[in-house]
Amino acid sequence: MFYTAESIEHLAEQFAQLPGIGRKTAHRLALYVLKLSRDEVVAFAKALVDVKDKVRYCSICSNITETDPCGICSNPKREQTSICVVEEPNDVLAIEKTHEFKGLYHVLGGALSPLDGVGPEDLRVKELLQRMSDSVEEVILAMNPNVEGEATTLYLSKLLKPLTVKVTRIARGLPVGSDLEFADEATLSRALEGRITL
Amino acid sequence: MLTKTEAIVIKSMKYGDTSKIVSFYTRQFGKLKGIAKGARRSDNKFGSSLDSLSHVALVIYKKEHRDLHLISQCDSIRSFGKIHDSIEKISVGLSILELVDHLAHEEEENPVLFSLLLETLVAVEKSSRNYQSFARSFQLRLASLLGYAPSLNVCSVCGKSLMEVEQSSALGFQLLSGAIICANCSKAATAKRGVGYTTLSVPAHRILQCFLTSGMESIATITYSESIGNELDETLRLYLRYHFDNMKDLKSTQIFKTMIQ
Ligand SMILES: [Zn+2]
Ligand SMILES: [Zn+2]
Repeated sequence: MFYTAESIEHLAEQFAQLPGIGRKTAHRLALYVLKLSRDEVVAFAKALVDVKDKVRYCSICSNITETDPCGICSNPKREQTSICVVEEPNDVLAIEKTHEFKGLYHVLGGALSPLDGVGPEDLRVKELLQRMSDSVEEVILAMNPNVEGEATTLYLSKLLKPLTVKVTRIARGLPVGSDLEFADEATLSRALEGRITL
Repeated sequence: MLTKTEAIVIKSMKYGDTSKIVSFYTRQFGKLKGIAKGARRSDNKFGSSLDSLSHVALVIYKKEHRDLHLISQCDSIRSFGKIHDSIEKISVGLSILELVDHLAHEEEENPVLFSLLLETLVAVEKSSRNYQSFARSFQLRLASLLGYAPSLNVCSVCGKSLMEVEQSSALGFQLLSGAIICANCSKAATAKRGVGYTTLSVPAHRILQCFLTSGMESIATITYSESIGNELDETLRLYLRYHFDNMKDLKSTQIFKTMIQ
Protein backbone atom coordinates (compact mmCIF):
# COMPACT_ATOMS: atom_id res chain seq x y z
CA MET A 1 0.00 0.00 0.00
CA PHE A 2 1.33 3.45 -0.85
CA TYR A 3 -0.18 6.68 0.32
CA THR A 4 0.75 9.96 -1.20
CA ALA A 5 1.13 11.40 2.31
CA GLU A 6 4.49 10.49 3.71
CA SER A 7 3.38 11.23 7.29
CA ILE A 8 0.67 8.59 7.14
CA GLU A 9 3.21 6.10 5.88
CA HIS A 10 5.56 7.10 8.66
CA LEU A 11 2.91 6.78 11.41
CA ALA A 12 1.83 3.40 10.06
CA GLU A 13 5.43 2.24 10.31
CA GLN A 14 5.44 3.25 13.97
CA PHE A 15 2.23 1.33 14.67
CA ALA A 16 3.55 -1.69 12.83
CA GLN A 17 6.37 -1.93 15.37
CA LEU A 18 3.84 -2.67 18.11
CA PRO A 19 3.37 -6.33 19.03
CA GLY A 20 0.53 -8.03 17.21
CA ILE A 21 0.01 -5.17 14.75
CA GLY A 22 0.35 -6.08 11.09
CA ARG A 23 0.85 -3.75 8.13
CA LYS A 24 -2.84 -3.55 7.32
CA THR A 25 -3.94 -2.79 10.87
CA ALA A 26 -1.13 -0.25 11.15
CA HIS A 27 -2.47 1.61 8.13
CA ARG A 28 -5.98 1.48 9.49
CA LEU A 29 -4.80 2.93 12.81
CA ALA A 30 -2.85 5.67 11.05
CA LEU A 31 -5.95 6.67 9.08
CA TYR A 32 -7.98 6.60 12.29
CA VAL A 33 -5.55 9.06 13.90
CA LEU A 34 -6.13 11.35 10.92
CA LYS A 35 -9.85 11.45 11.75
CA LEU A 36 -9.30 12.43 15.41
CA SER A 37 -9.40 16.07 16.51
CA ARG A 38 -6.08 17.78 17.13
CA ASP A 39 -6.74 17.82 20.91
CA GLU A 40 -7.38 14.11 20.96
CA VAL A 41 -4.16 13.46 19.09
CA VAL A 42 -2.20 15.68 21.47
CA ALA A 43 -3.68 13.86 24.49
CA PHE A 44 -2.75 10.55 22.88
CA ALA A 45 0.81 11.68 22.19
CA LYS A 46 1.13 13.05 25.72
CA ALA A 47 -0.04 9.76 27.24
CA LEU A 48 2.69 8.00 25.27
CA VAL A 49 5.39 10.38 26.44
CA ASP A 50 4.12 10.31 30.06
CA VAL A 51 4.45 6.56 30.22
CA LYS A 52 8.03 6.87 29.13
CA ASP A 53 8.84 9.82 31.42
CA LYS A 54 6.99 8.89 34.60
CA VAL A 55 6.87 5.15 34.71
CA ARG A 56 10.12 3.39 35.34
CA TYR A 57 11.38 0.03 36.42
CA CYS A 58 11.96 -0.55 40.12
CA SER A 59 15.72 -0.67 40.59
CA ILE A 60 15.34 -3.70 42.86
CA CYS A 61 12.64 -5.94 41.39
CA SER A 62 12.22 -4.40 37.90
CA ASN A 63 8.47 -4.13 38.30
CA ILE A 64 6.93 -1.05 36.71
CA THR A 65 6.43 1.78 39.17
CA GLU A 66 6.23 5.55 39.49
CA THR A 67 8.32 5.51 42.69
CA ASP A 68 11.65 3.82 43.06
CA PRO A 69 11.91 1.40 44.87
CA CYS A 70 8.38 0.23 44.19
CA GLY A 71 5.60 -0.09 46.77
CA ILE A 72 6.33 -3.75 47.36
CA CYS A 73 10.10 -3.51 47.69
CA SER A 74 9.84 -0.54 50.08
CA ASN A 75 7.15 -2.16 52.26
CA PRO A 76 8.81 -3.41 55.49
CA LYS A 77 5.88 -5.77 56.13
CA ARG A 78 6.76 -7.92 53.13
CA GLU A 79 8.82 -10.99 53.93
CA GLN A 80 12.37 -10.36 52.81
CA THR A 81 13.16 -14.07 52.81
CA SER A 82 11.37 -15.14 49.67
CA ILE A 83 11.48 -13.86 46.11
CA CYS A 84 8.93 -14.86 43.52
CA VAL A 85 10.32 -14.68 39.98
CA VAL A 86 7.83 -13.85 37.24
CA GLU A 87 8.02 -13.02 33.55
CA GLU A 88 6.06 -9.78 33.32
CA PRO A 89 4.63 -7.01 35.57
CA ASN A 90 1.14 -8.37 34.82
CA ASP A 91 2.10 -11.58 36.61
CA VAL A 92 2.87 -9.59 39.78
CA LEU A 93 -0.65 -8.19 39.62
CA ALA A 94 -2.14 -11.66 39.15
CA ILE A 95 -0.26 -13.10 42.12
CA GLU A 96 -0.98 -10.07 44.32
CA LYS A 97 -4.69 -10.61 43.72
CA THR A 98 -4.47 -14.02 45.40
CA HIS A 99 -3.24 -12.42 48.69
CA GLU A 100 -1.34 -15.68 49.08
CA PHE A 101 2.20 -14.43 48.72
CA LYS A 102 3.78 -12.05 51.24
CA GLY A 103 7.33 -11.94 49.92
CA LEU A 104 9.10 -9.93 47.24
CA TYR A 105 9.12 -10.21 43.46
CA HIS A 106 11.58 -10.22 40.65
CA VAL A 107 10.35 -9.40 37.15
CA LEU A 108 12.54 -10.97 34.46
CA GLY A 109 11.03 -9.03 31.57
CA GLY A 110 10.10 -12.14 29.58
CA ALA A 111 11.09 -15.77 29.22
CA LEU A 112 13.90 -17.50 27.37
CA SER A 113 12.74 -17.65 23.79
CA PRO A 114 15.60 -18.48 21.44
CA LEU A 115 13.33 -18.49 18.38
CA ASP A 116 12.54 -14.85 19.03
CA GLY A 117 16.16 -14.09 19.81
CA VAL A 118 15.53 -13.69 23.53
CA GLY A 119 18.40 -15.12 25.58
CA PRO A 120 19.54 -14.83 29.20
CA GLU A 121 21.29 -11.52 28.40
CA ASP A 122 17.98 -9.98 27.42
CA LEU A 123 16.32 -10.87 30.72
CA ARG A 124 17.08 -9.54 34.20
CA VAL A 125 18.90 -12.68 35.23
CA LYS A 126 22.11 -11.07 36.46
CA GLU A 127 20.03 -8.71 38.60
CA LEU A 128 18.27 -11.69 40.17
CA LEU A 129 21.56 -13.36 41.05
CA GLN A 130 22.77 -10.10 42.60
CA ARG A 131 19.79 -10.17 44.97
CA MET A 132 20.80 -13.54 46.41
CA SER A 133 22.03 -12.49 49.84
CA ASP A 134 21.93 -14.43 53.11
CA SER A 135 18.47 -13.14 53.94
CA VAL A 136 16.91 -14.83 50.89
CA GLU A 137 15.79 -18.34 51.82
CA GLU A 138 13.50 -19.29 48.98
CA VAL A 139 13.20 -18.41 45.32
CA ILE A 140 9.86 -19.33 43.77
CA LEU A 141 9.87 -19.66 40.00
CA ALA A 142 6.45 -18.71 38.64
CA MET A 143 6.80 -18.86 34.87
CA ASN A 144 4.06 -19.36 32.32
CA PRO A 145 3.22 -23.02 31.69
CA ASN A 146 4.77 -23.31 28.22
CA VAL A 147 8.07 -24.33 26.62
CA GLU A 148 9.63 -20.90 27.08
CA GLY A 149 8.56 -20.89 30.73
CA GLU A 150 9.96 -24.40 31.23
CA ALA A 151 13.26 -23.45 29.63
CA THR A 152 13.48 -20.40 31.89
CA THR A 153 12.66 -22.43 35.00
CA LEU A 154 15.30 -25.04 34.16
CA TYR A 155 17.88 -22.42 33.31
CA LEU A 156 17.34 -20.36 36.48
CA SER A 157 17.28 -23.37 38.76
CA LYS A 158 20.61 -24.45 37.30
CA LEU A 159 22.07 -21.04 38.13
CA LEU A 160 20.45 -20.76 41.58
CA LYS A 161 21.00 -24.25 42.97
CA PRO A 162 24.71 -23.82 43.75
CA LEU A 163 23.80 -20.74 45.85
CA THR A 164 22.36 -22.74 48.81
CA VAL A 165 18.94 -21.18 48.45
CA LYS A 166 15.77 -23.23 48.28
CA VAL A 167 14.47 -23.14 44.71
CA THR A 168 10.83 -24.02 44.11
CA ARG A 169 8.45 -23.77 41.18
CA ILE A 170 4.73 -23.20 41.33
CA ALA A 171 2.68 -26.36 40.92
CA ARG A 172 1.67 -27.36 37.42
CA GLY A 173 -2.01 -27.12 38.29
CA LEU A 174 -2.21 -24.01 36.15
CA PRO A 175 -4.24 -24.49 33.01
CA VAL A 176 -1.60 -25.35 30.46
CA GLY A 177 -1.30 -23.12 27.46
CA SER A 178 -2.98 -20.16 29.08
CA ASP A 179 -0.98 -17.32 30.54
CA LEU A 180 -0.43 -16.85 34.24
CA GLU A 181 -2.06 -13.45 34.11
CA PHE A 182 -5.31 -15.07 32.99
CA ALA A 183 -5.36 -17.75 35.68
CA ASP A 184 -8.17 -17.34 38.15
CA GLU A 185 -7.22 -16.50 41.73
CA ALA A 186 -8.18 -19.85 43.25
CA THR A 187 -6.09 -21.79 40.74
CA LEU A 188 -3.14 -19.48 41.16
CA SER A 189 -3.41 -19.75 44.98
CA ARG A 190 -3.34 -23.54 44.71
CA ALA A 191 -0.35 -23.39 42.40
CA LEU A 192 1.52 -21.19 44.89
CA GLU A 193 0.63 -23.36 47.86
CA GLY A 194 1.55 -26.59 46.16
CA ARG A 195 4.96 -25.48 44.98
CA ILE A 196 7.59 -28.09 44.24
CA THR A 197 11.22 -27.97 45.33
CA LEU A 198 13.63 -28.20 42.43
CA MET B 1 -12.65 -24.61 3.64
CA LEU B 2 -12.51 -26.60 6.85
CA THR B 3 -9.45 -28.85 6.61
CA LYS B 4 -7.79 -31.30 8.93
CA THR B 5 -4.07 -31.99 9.00
CA GLU B 6 -1.38 -33.26 11.32
CA ALA B 7 1.11 -30.62 12.47
CA ILE B 8 4.02 -29.73 14.70
CA VAL B 9 3.78 -26.37 16.44
CA ILE B 10 6.79 -24.20 15.62
CA LYS B 11 5.91 -21.25 17.81
CA SER B 12 3.12 -19.17 19.25
CA MET B 13 3.04 -15.43 19.48
CA LYS B 14 0.71 -13.36 21.63
CA TYR B 15 -1.80 -11.50 19.54
CA GLY B 16 -4.16 -8.85 20.79
CA ASP B 17 -5.43 -9.31 24.32
CA THR B 18 -6.29 -12.96 24.36
CA SER B 19 -5.34 -14.58 21.07
CA LYS B 20 -2.28 -16.24 19.63
CA ILE B 21 -0.77 -16.42 16.19
CA VAL B 22 0.71 -19.86 15.76
CA SER B 23 3.06 -21.19 13.11
CA PHE B 24 2.89 -24.87 12.31
CA TYR B 25 4.70 -27.30 10.12
CA THR B 26 1.92 -29.42 8.70
CA ARG B 27 2.02 -32.74 6.91
CA GLN B 28 -0.33 -31.58 4.20
CA PHE B 29 0.52 -27.94 3.57
CA GLY B 30 4.06 -27.46 4.86
CA LYS B 31 4.63 -24.32 6.95
CA LEU B 32 1.42 -22.52 7.77
CA LYS B 33 0.23 -19.77 10.10
CA GLY B 34 -3.03 -19.59 11.96
CA ILE B 35 -4.80 -17.47 14.51
CA ALA B 36 -6.22 -19.07 17.67
CA LYS B 37 -8.83 -16.77 19.13
CA GLY B 38 -9.08 -16.65 22.91
CA ALA B 39 -6.13 -19.02 23.26
CA ARG B 40 -4.55 -17.14 26.15
CA ARG B 41 -7.59 -17.29 28.42
CA SER B 42 -7.53 -19.91 31.16
CA ASP B 43 -10.78 -21.45 29.93
CA ASN B 44 -9.52 -21.81 26.34
CA LYS B 45 -10.23 -24.95 24.35
CA PHE B 46 -6.69 -25.34 23.06
CA GLY B 47 -4.91 -26.25 26.29
CA SER B 48 -1.20 -26.81 25.77
CA SER B 49 -1.66 -27.89 22.18
CA LEU B 50 -0.41 -24.56 20.80
CA ASP B 51 2.88 -24.74 22.66
CA SER B 52 6.12 -25.09 20.64
CA LEU B 53 7.05 -28.73 19.93
CA SER B 54 3.51 -30.10 20.26
CA HIS B 55 2.44 -32.72 17.77
CA VAL B 56 -1.20 -31.95 17.03
CA ALA B 57 -4.27 -32.74 14.97
CA LEU B 58 -5.15 -29.39 13.49
CA VAL B 59 -8.48 -28.26 12.07
CA ILE B 60 -8.38 -24.94 10.22
CA TYR B 61 -10.54 -22.80 8.03
CA LYS B 62 -8.16 -22.56 5.13
CA LYS B 63 -8.71 -19.72 2.75
CA GLU B 64 -6.96 -19.39 -0.60
CA HIS B 65 -4.58 -16.46 -0.97
CA ARG B 66 -4.50 -15.81 2.76
CA ASP B 67 -1.39 -16.18 4.83
CA LEU B 68 -3.23 -16.39 8.13
CA HIS B 69 -5.92 -19.01 8.66
CA LEU B 70 -8.43 -19.42 11.47
CA ILE B 71 -7.66 -22.30 13.80
CA SER B 72 -10.89 -24.09 14.58
CA GLN B 73 -9.54 -26.94 16.65
CA CYS B 74 -6.16 -28.18 17.76
CA ASP B 75 -5.84 -31.40 19.72
CA SER B 76 -2.63 -32.70 21.15
CA ILE B 77 -1.41 -36.02 19.76
CA ARG B 78 1.89 -35.93 21.60
CA SER B 79 3.22 -33.11 23.74
CA PHE B 80 6.84 -34.30 23.98
CA GLY B 81 6.73 -33.79 27.74
CA LYS B 82 10.09 -35.46 28.23
CA ILE B 83 11.72 -32.87 26.01
CA HIS B 84 10.43 -30.24 28.44
CA ASP B 85 12.27 -31.92 31.32
CA SER B 86 15.75 -30.99 30.22
CA ILE B 87 17.16 -27.73 29.01
CA GLU B 88 19.50 -29.55 26.62
CA LYS B 89 16.57 -31.34 25.00
CA ILE B 90 14.54 -28.14 24.82
CA SER B 91 17.46 -26.39 23.11
CA VAL B 92 17.85 -29.14 20.53
CA GLY B 93 14.09 -29.30 19.92
CA LEU B 94 13.77 -25.56 19.49
CA SER B 95 16.85 -25.28 17.28
CA ILE B 96 15.31 -27.86 14.95
CA LEU B 97 12.03 -25.95 14.84
CA GLU B 98 13.90 -22.75 14.13
CA LEU B 99 15.58 -24.27 11.08
CA VAL B 100 12.24 -25.39 9.72
CA ASP B 101 10.83 -21.95 10.41
CA HIS B 102 13.69 -20.29 8.54
CA LEU B 103 14.24 -22.65 5.64
CA ALA B 104 10.89 -24.17 4.75
CA HIS B 105 8.70 -22.11 2.44
CA GLU B 106 5.20 -21.02 3.41
CA GLU B 107 2.52 -23.48 2.38
CA GLU B 108 4.76 -25.70 0.32
CA GLU B 109 3.92 -29.33 0.93
CA ASN B 110 6.77 -31.65 1.93
CA PRO B 111 5.49 -34.74 3.76
CA VAL B 112 8.97 -36.26 3.89
CA LEU B 113 10.21 -33.22 5.79
CA PHE B 114 7.23 -33.50 8.13
CA SER B 115 8.09 -37.14 8.84
CA LEU B 116 11.75 -36.29 9.40
CA LEU B 117 10.80 -33.54 11.84
CA LEU B 118 8.49 -35.81 13.78
CA GLU B 119 10.93 -38.71 13.78
CA THR B 120 13.75 -36.45 15.01
CA LEU B 121 11.68 -35.02 17.87
CA VAL B 122 10.65 -38.52 18.93
CA ALA B 123 14.32 -39.51 18.95
CA VAL B 124 15.28 -36.46 21.02
CA GLU B 125 12.54 -37.25 23.52
CA LYS B 126 13.49 -40.92 23.86
CA SER B 127 17.23 -40.50 23.91
CA SER B 128 19.27 -40.00 27.04
CA ARG B 129 22.43 -38.71 25.35
CA ASN B 130 23.95 -37.18 22.21
CA TYR B 131 21.07 -34.79 21.67
CA GLN B 132 23.28 -32.52 19.60
CA SER B 133 23.75 -35.27 17.02
CA PHE B 134 20.03 -35.16 16.25
CA ALA B 135 20.20 -31.42 15.64
CA ARG B 136 23.26 -31.81 13.41
CA SER B 137 21.79 -34.71 11.48
CA PHE B 138 18.59 -32.74 11.03
CA GLN B 139 20.48 -29.79 9.52
CA LEU B 140 22.09 -32.03 6.92
CA ARG B 141 18.91 -33.91 6.07
CA LEU B 142 16.84 -30.77 5.88
CA ALA B 143 19.31 -29.26 3.41
CA SER B 144 19.11 -32.47 1.39
CA LEU B 145 15.32 -32.51 1.38
CA LEU B 146 15.26 -28.94 0.19
CA GLY B 147 17.46 -29.83 -2.76
CA TYR B 148 21.00 -29.47 -1.46
CA ALA B 149 22.16 -32.99 -0.69
CA PRO B 150 25.95 -33.22 -0.48
CA SER B 151 27.60 -36.17 -2.29
CA LEU B 152 29.55 -37.68 0.56
CA ASN B 153 30.26 -41.11 -0.89
CA VAL B 154 32.54 -40.59 -3.89
CA CYS B 155 35.47 -38.33 -4.62
CA SER B 156 34.33 -35.75 -7.14
CA VAL B 157 37.77 -35.66 -8.79
CA CYS B 158 38.90 -39.30 -9.15
CA GLY B 159 35.51 -40.89 -8.69
CA LYS B 160 36.76 -43.41 -6.14
CA SER B 161 34.39 -44.58 -3.45
CA LEU B 162 35.02 -42.94 -0.10
CA MET B 163 33.23 -45.76 1.69
CA GLU B 164 35.94 -48.30 0.99
CA VAL B 165 39.22 -46.42 0.72
CA GLU B 166 40.59 -45.39 4.10
CA GLN B 167 41.47 -41.69 3.97
CA SER B 168 44.95 -40.83 5.20
CA SER B 169 44.30 -37.14 5.87
CA ALA B 170 41.64 -34.45 5.73
CA LEU B 171 39.29 -34.33 2.76
CA GLY B 172 38.14 -31.33 0.78
CA PHE B 173 34.54 -30.13 0.71
CA GLN B 174 33.14 -27.86 -2.01
CA LEU B 175 30.28 -26.08 -0.30
CA LEU B 176 28.67 -24.87 -3.52
CA SER B 177 28.37 -28.26 -5.20
CA GLY B 178 28.34 -30.33 -2.02
CA ALA B 179 31.14 -32.41 -3.54
CA ILE B 180 33.85 -34.18 -1.56
CA ILE B 181 37.45 -34.41 -2.73
CA CYS B 182 39.39 -37.38 -1.36
CA ALA B 183 42.58 -36.95 0.67
CA ASN B 184 44.81 -37.80 -2.31
CA CYS B 185 43.12 -35.53 -4.80
CA SER B 186 42.80 -32.65 -2.38
CA LYS B 187 46.60 -32.68 -1.92
CA ALA B 188 46.99 -32.32 -5.67
CA ALA B 189 44.02 -30.14 -6.45
CA THR B 190 45.17 -26.95 -4.76
CA ALA B 191 43.99 -24.99 -7.76
CA LYS B 192 40.43 -26.06 -7.05
CA ARG B 193 40.39 -24.38 -3.67
CA GLY B 194 39.08 -20.91 -3.24
CA VAL B 195 35.67 -19.57 -2.41
CA GLY B 196 33.40 -22.15 -0.85
CA TYR B 197 36.15 -24.66 -0.22
CA THR B 198 36.69 -26.08 3.23
CA THR B 199 38.41 -29.12 4.69
CA LEU B 200 36.79 -31.96 6.54
CA SER B 201 38.59 -34.26 8.96
CA VAL B 202 38.29 -38.00 8.38
CA PRO B 203 36.05 -38.61 11.43
CA ALA B 204 33.85 -35.59 10.66
CA HIS B 205 33.30 -36.90 7.12
CA ARG B 206 32.33 -40.35 8.44
CA ILE B 207 29.92 -38.86 10.92
CA LEU B 208 28.28 -36.68 8.26
CA GLN B 209 27.78 -39.80 6.11
CA CYS B 210 26.12 -41.48 9.05
CA PHE B 211 23.99 -38.39 9.82
CA LEU B 212 22.71 -38.39 6.27
CA THR B 213 21.84 -42.06 5.94
CA SER B 214 21.60 -43.85 9.30
CA GLY B 215 18.52 -44.40 11.40
CA MET B 216 17.90 -42.39 14.55
CA GLU B 217 18.99 -45.25 16.77
CA SER B 218 22.42 -45.45 15.14
CA ILE B 219 22.79 -41.70 15.29
CA ALA B 220 22.17 -41.81 19.03
CA THR B 221 25.07 -44.21 19.51
CA ILE B 222 27.77 -42.27 17.61
CA THR B 223 30.26 -40.78 20.02
CA TYR B 224 32.82 -38.12 19.16
CA SER B 225 34.92 -35.48 20.86
CA GLU B 226 33.84 -31.93 21.48
CA SER B 227 36.31 -30.66 18.90
CA ILE B 228 34.76 -32.90 16.23
CA GLY B 229 31.37 -31.60 17.39
CA ASN B 230 32.59 -28.05 16.84
CA GLU B 231 33.97 -28.97 13.42
CA LEU B 232 30.62 -30.48 12.44
CA ASP B 233 28.77 -27.40 13.64
CA GLU B 234 31.05 -25.08 11.71
CA THR B 235 30.89 -27.17 8.52
CA LEU B 236 27.10 -27.40 8.66
CA ARG B 237 26.81 -23.70 9.42
CA LEU B 238 28.92 -22.84 6.36
CA TYR B 239 27.05 -25.32 4.20
CA LEU B 240 23.61 -23.99 5.13
CA ARG B 241 24.73 -20.39 4.77
CA TYR B 242 26.03 -21.17 1.33
CA HIS B 243 22.72 -22.51 0.13
CA PHE B 244 20.12 -20.56 2.06
CA ASP B 245 20.20 -16.78 1.92
CA ASN B 246 18.33 -16.32 5.15
CA MET B 247 20.75 -18.34 7.27
CA LYS B 248 22.61 -15.29 8.51
CA ASP B 249 24.12 -16.02 11.88
CA LEU B 250 21.04 -16.76 13.88
CA LYS B 251 21.05 -14.98 17.19
CA SER B 252 19.70 -18.15 18.73
CA THR B 253 22.92 -20.11 18.14
CA GLN B 254 24.60 -18.14 20.90
CA ILE B 255 21.51 -18.34 23.12
CA PHE B 256 21.37 -22.13 22.82
CA LYS B 257 25.05 -22.26 23.77
CA THR B 258 24.54 -20.22 26.95
CA MET B 259 21.45 -22.22 27.87
CA ILE B 260 23.24 -25.56 27.90
CA GLN B 261 26.57 -24.42 29.33
ZN1 LIG C 1 10.41 -3.31 43.47
ZN1 LIG D 1 39.99 -38.42 -5.39
